[in-house]
Parts: sequence; C-alpha cells; structure tokens
Amino acid sequence: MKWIKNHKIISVIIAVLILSAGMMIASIASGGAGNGATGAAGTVITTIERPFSAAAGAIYSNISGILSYKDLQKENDQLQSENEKLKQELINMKLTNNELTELKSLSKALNYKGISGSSDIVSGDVISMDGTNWMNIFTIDVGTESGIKTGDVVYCGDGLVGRVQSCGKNWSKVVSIIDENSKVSFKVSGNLQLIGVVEGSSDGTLSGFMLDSKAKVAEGDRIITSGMGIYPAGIEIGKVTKVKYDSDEQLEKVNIKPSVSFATLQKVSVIL
Amino acid sequence: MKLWKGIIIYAAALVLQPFINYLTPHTGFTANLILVLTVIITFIYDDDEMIGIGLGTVFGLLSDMAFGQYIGPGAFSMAITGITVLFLKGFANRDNFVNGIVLTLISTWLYSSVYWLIYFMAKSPYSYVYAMKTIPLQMVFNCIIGLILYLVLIKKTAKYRKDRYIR
Repeated sequence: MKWIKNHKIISVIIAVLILSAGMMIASIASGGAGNGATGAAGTVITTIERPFSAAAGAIYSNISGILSYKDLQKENDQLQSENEKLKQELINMKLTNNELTELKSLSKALNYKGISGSSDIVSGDVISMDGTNWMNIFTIDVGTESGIKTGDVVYCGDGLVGRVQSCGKNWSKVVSIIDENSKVSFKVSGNLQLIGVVEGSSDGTLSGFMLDSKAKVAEGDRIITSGMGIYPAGIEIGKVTKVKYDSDEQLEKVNIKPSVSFATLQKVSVIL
Repeated sequence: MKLWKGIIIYAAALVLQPFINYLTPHTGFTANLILVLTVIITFIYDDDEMIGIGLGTVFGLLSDMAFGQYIGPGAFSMAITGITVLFLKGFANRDNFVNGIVLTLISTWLYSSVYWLIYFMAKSPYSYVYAMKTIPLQMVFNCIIGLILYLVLIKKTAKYRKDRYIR
C-alpha cells in the first residue's frame, strides 16, 4: 500500500494495463463484439466528437470545392451526359404497366419477400478510423437508434465495404471485408455461373478460389456478391488481378483488388 | 505538467483525432495525436514524465474502446512506446528539437510494430510488410504535429533553452 501511495501514476498504469489485458482477451475471444463499457465509451466519445467531424468535413469540402472548381465543372458535365444516357436506358428497361401488375399479383400470390427479406437502408458518415493507418476498421455516426444491429451489411457507392461488428446508440464499428476472417461468396459479373469464395489476404487485398477448378476467369473480371451468406446478391466486391491454378489443391486461385478504397471512405450505407 | 491539464489536453486530442482524419481524407494516412503527445510530454518533462505515459495508456484504452476492433492493443502499444521514450531520453539532449523528432520517428515505428504484433497474435490477416508500408507517411504527419507540440511545450519546461547557442 505504501508503494502504491508513493508511486500513484505507475500504479495507475499497471492497473490500466491489467484491465486492458483482461478486456483484450475478452474482446479477441468474442471476435471484437462490444460490451457495456465499450458501448458507453463509444456513445460518449461519438456524441462529443460528432460536431468536430461535421465541422472538419465542411471545412474540407469547402476548401477542396474552391480548389477543384474546374475539375468539378468538368465532372458535372460528364455526369449530366451520363445521366441522360441512363435515363434513356431506364426508359428502355422499364416493364410495361401490364407486366408489372402481373408480376406484383404473382409475387403476392407466392408470398415472395425478396432475397434479403429487407431493403431498408441507413446512411452514415465515417467519423473515425482505428488507431493505425493500415487496418480498415472504422466508426460511423449511426447506431441502434437508426435500427442498426450487429452483422448488418455495409456498402458504399463503389461496392461492398463489410459488416457491422458492434454498435451503440449513435455509433457502429464497421469491419471491412479484408479484415474479416469470414469468407464472402462471389460470382463473376460477366458470367454469373462462375462462383467462388474470397477472404482477406496478408497484403490488404482479397484472395480466393473458384468452386469449379476449370472456371474460365480472366484478369480484369469484376466480381459481385453471390447472395449466399449474410451479403445480399449483386454488390460489387472488386476486380480480379491475378489468376493462378494451384495444382496441389487443384483449385483456380484468384487475387482480387477491392473496388472500395477503405482508407479514404467518408460515406457509407447500412442495409438493415 | 499538472494532471488536470494533461487530462484536458489528452481529451482534446481524442476528440480532435477525427477532425485531423477528415482534413487529410485522400491520403488515407493521418497523425496519431495521442501517440505524439505521449512521446513529446515524456521527452520534455523531467519531473512529471510518467504523466505522459499514464495518460497515454488510459487514453489509448479509451481510443480502443471507441474506435478499435479489439480493446487493449492501443493501451499496451502506448505504454511500451512511452517506457521506451523514457529510456531513450537519457541519451538525448532535451533542448534540441531534432532529438524530439528522432524520438517521434522511432516511437511511430515501435507503436505500429507492437500494435501489429498484438493483432498478429489475434490472427489478423495482415503481414508486417503491409502494415509497415504506411509508416513513412505517418512518420511525416507525426513529426509535423510533434514539432509543433515540442515548440509549444518546451517553452514551459526550458524557458531559456537557446541562450547557450545565441550568447
């Protein structure tokens, strides 16, 4: 006791390290799932820092908007022409009213609920990354009060991001697909019969294999989620960068570059 | 440094960390404010040097709780880095800012290495080479923040540090 009184800060450090060790073992064992303490800390810190993140976001977008005025104007012109093309495509692809009514009545008769069973989407801003610059775990500013729960799928405009690992009242921790130990089932965009499984690799990309060892996959092919497992079908995962036949395992192995730049993410959507 | 002042500074760093992240979004890299504070405070304060390590460990834990995948790696990495700075400062002249920068460089590498090691033991898929690829740019950001902190805080601890060079 006397030693503790004489060495207060050292005692605090030792106590915090013992506490950290216990919490670390518990969090690793639970796969990173949060508990009451992390929930409270997350809610308090997120509530305090949300205005700062919003202010920084506003400052950055204003400055970059001024600096890149010409680029934005050019991009705007491109988007407008693209929009016109898409509108035309949409008109061509629209079902006729009769066909739509027919499909709706058929869907009702069969009690069809769709692939994911739910299509509600919540959007949020990334408010903080983890303590390193090489891991791809981040916190977003929406949580259970928006209906988010652990395991919900997260994506952005570029493609699949990952899933919610833990969440609190106004925050959610998102773990990316390359940080995950779990595997994602995919299809090749050009040929939807080519199915495979992909997982995170040691160099921050994705690697996987095709279920059919004779599958004809080429470098540059885009891959999308197959709909098997927790991820709904049709979300872009990335592009095949390398294809190699592994004669030992008799598998067609593929390396994939994710379509999402995880380190620079700012806005994401969560499928509820 | 008084404890309450330290707590305010570290709390501000924890809250301002996302602000810094937002200002450099396209690089994907950012400075680690809590780490830099721990290194500089431990380096330039003689009597209260343990405050830097203590607060660094506590706020490393809080940061893990709020933003990390697992709870604890940040606290351990911060404590090990702080203790290393405490050891290395015995060989460095506190009045020279270059020593502060060198310690910040070493600390950035050490912190990331310990952090990676803990995650490696937790079966994270990343290789050491991949994790270290991001280090050079993070070192640059940390050194810039570290230099600013050094120049602000050194005035409190060594008021006439340049006297011997000027006169």
